[in-house]
Amino acid sequence: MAAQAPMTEATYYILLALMKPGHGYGMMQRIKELSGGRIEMGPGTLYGVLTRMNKEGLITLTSEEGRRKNYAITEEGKNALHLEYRRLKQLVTDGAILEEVEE
Amino acid sequence: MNWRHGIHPNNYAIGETEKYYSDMSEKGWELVKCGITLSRFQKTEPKKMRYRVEVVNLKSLEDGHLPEEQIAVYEDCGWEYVISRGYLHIFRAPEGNDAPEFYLEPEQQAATLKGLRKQYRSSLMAPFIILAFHAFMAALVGGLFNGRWAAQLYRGLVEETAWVIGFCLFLLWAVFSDLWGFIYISRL
Repeated sequence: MAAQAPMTEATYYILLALMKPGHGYGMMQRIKELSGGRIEMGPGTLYGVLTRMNKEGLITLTSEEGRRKNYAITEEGKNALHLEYRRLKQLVTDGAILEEVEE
Repeated sequence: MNWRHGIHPNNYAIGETEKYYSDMSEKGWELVKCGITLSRFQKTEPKKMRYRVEVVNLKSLEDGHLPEEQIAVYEDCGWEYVISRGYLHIFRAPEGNDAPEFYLEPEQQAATLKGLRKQYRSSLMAPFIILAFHAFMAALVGGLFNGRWAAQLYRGLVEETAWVIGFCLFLLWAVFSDLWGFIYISRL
């Protein structure tokens, strides 16, 4: 199975947020909540990542209200997200020796 | 008189452009539209506004305009879209409202500036090519009459090249110093 390239935090959190369909500013708030306030995203970053992910098929347009576009995650996006989550868990598990050294 | 024109800073001087419109706004002049060298302002009461310039390369535009969706996302966050000028797209928000900066990481913003820099790089090629051609032709013509075309060519090229390099180095310095200064310093 081909390994997936690591995701940037922006990509990871946007996909996570889009497990529930949404758009624009609302998404920026959700990302802040999901990350416990750690990740603050600018609108320029958000727009850029959304456009790219839409092109790559990780998310899809669900509806449009005037100029606003609403997105939701696709099956492909969910798979990518799960793969990434497992990869991150593996990193933490493999790093367990760090905890031992501290004791 | 309730309108006026002003000469705005160069396209690559993004930080200065933002400051220029901010300052005008504080004096009571609000940006209405802009052409290649001049901007047009309308008289209003003095306001403290933040002006921000977004750089988007021409290929990503929807028939010459900034994508509607991008405008919608920015406006959702509190920015007002004003006008565009080539690669530059101008937004404003009142001082004190918490409209977030477009890019919170300098590297992302640097990526948008690559398009602008490419434009400058390709427009710098033109003078080089024209002057090289000119030097070559001058040498040819001069050399044909006294058979020393190689020497003429050499002289022509060296002189012209020295001029061109001097001028272009200056331009490059101006462009890059503004770009790098902007990326690492001016965002607060």
